[in-house]
Amino acid sequence: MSALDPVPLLLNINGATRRLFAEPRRLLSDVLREDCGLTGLHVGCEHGVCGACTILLDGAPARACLMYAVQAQGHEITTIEAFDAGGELSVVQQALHEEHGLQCGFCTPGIVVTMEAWLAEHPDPTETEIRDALSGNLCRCTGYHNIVAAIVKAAARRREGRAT
Amino acid sequence: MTDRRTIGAPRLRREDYRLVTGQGRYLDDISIAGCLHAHFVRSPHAHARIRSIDIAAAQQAEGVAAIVGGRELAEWTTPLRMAPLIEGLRPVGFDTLPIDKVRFVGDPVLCIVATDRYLAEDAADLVAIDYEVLAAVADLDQAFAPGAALVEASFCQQRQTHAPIETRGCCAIWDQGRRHLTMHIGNQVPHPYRTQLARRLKLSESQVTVISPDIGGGFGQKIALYREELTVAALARELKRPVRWREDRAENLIAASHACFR
Amino acid sequence: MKPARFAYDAPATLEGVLRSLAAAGDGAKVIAGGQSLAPMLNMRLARPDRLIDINAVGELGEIALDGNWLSIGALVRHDALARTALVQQHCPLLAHAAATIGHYAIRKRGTIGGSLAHADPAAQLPLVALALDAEMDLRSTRGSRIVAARDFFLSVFSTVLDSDELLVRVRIPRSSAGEGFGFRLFNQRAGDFALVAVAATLARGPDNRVARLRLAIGGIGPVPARVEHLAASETGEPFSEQWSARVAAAIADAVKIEENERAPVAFRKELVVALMREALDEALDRAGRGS
Repeated sequence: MSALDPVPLLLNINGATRRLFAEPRRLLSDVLREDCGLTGLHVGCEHGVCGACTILLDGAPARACLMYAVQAQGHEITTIEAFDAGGELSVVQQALHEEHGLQCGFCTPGIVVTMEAWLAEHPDPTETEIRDALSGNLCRCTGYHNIVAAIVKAAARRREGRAT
Repeated sequence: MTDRRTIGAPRLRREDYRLVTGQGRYLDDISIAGCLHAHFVRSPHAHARIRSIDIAAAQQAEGVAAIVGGRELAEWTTPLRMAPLIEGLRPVGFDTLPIDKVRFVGDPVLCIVATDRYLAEDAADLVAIDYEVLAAVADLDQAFAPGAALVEASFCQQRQTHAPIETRGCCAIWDQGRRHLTMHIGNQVPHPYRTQLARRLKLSESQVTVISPDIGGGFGQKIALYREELTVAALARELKRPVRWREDRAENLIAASHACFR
Repeated sequence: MKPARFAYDAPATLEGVLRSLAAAGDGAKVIAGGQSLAPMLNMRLARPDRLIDINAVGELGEIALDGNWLSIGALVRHDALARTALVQQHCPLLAHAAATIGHYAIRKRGTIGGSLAHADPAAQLPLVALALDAEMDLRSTRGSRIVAARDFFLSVFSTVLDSDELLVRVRIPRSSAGEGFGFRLFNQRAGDFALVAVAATLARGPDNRVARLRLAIGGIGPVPARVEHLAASETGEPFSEQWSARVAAAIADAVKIEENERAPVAFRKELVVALMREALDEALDRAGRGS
């Protein structure tokens, strides 16, 4: 037995508890995807630049590739899988669909998770503020315009308490 | 008859539900039981002769199933031959993995197959490759120096690359009983890809199935049969175990296709 | 890219962290937000034997007024620096600069202690700490010491921290009445480290001249630099429309800009001129408004 061996972990993910074993060096992104089957977060760079692996840690966006699973004990992890409650798209998800704010979809979960948290803190943003907030999520397909339009629409609907 | 309600009306996509909810199935989301993971040891030099390769320590590393290089791949696959009928263009041959020389930074020299990527990278740390560095024309000033072979042209475009958010990767499954290869890969042209893959592995086309799941962008980078993918497929057949590969971002920027400064 | 193996420790108290650091010798790295360290670990550019996670040490996350100083615990996140009223009121330059760091997700995790200890030559917080005459509170099992910002940063990614020392707190003198600040940075993409960044604080003196000028530039050398002394005669001139432009030009001529592969010296010199002028104008404007 050595300090480098896998350690038992108790993780709180989307409101449920998971028990697993992992070496301290295993990235949270790998543990969530491979050990917990939560493949909605995607790995694009493994050094915190692209944002495709974004999850919420205690409600705040965090790059899962920049955390080790062992660090996430005692915290609440929220992944993309939490946002479509009962099969209904969230306001942000619905707006992305309507505004063609996705093509290949690889960056999309990271954008949804980031924006769900950001809009909760910034309910009445300007378009400039939205563009700035989106700068941490890279998209190679859309050119961003439709994503911005989707977030503008989602912010308005959230303020009005509307789903569509 | 054309349906006038379709023309000019916005058409929403059918695939969005799974993509916005994180239920897309990209290559790495597909779980294959008993799958091994491939990782490439790459040249740090632009041009060098491979003097020797020492994998003794790496082979003993935890979780390692195999370590192979150019010589093994030369037995299992055919080299790439390109001889387009274009005047002035000479035929070119390209080994699956380099045997005696590396020709760019990132040239994949060895493939390590292990039970996971972490262990494969640990084994890579233990590999010792002795290179004899050779002269390389690696920048534009050198290419235009007096005495350099000069090709007349007047275009200028910066170096660029496709950079899809999902890097390259694949998963090869060899069914020894049926002598059949299934290749899971996010590829833009599965049919000609299958033709190429079969030919290079000395298989008939009907022995190869290519399955393309959701792809995280390609933009042209996911068309050609790459040497890494061919290596992974050959290894799956040799080891009779499924083998998968995921390129990391550094590898994608260094070793995947791009358009050079020209 | 996966990190090499490391052992992991997450002590719940400061004493626990210091004991772990002392026991580990040179083989440990402290992890706070991980926004700078984790990429290095993942790329195997750093290979510590042990990671000491300080996120559970609650006392390191506090912000408090301490006489004429604002005391900020090492674990305070960039986002908290930007949004906490105490910081906005008493160290507005710090709040403003912190809001420009990286991206939203990075600001939610990255910490002031981590940024200062990491000492990236182009980072905002080392620059601002230097501009504001911050003092760093360092602790180890051997004792504690205070190091001024101007002595703390040694070179690229290098500070005076010993391998068994932890930066626990940063103390910054509260901004004084009538003081205005300016901050400018230039980067190629939103969220990138700056190519050049400038921080300025000043107050308007009674004789239509500047009082208490502090100027610092980042991204032109291995550590940020305080530079107001390089243009003493220009800065001493009475205010005029050309004042900030003259000061900026004088400093750009006098300051040493080192070669690096990110951008040519000539371009960075132009950035110094432009950003310094804008930062000074912004500071004058704020000082004039009495804010």
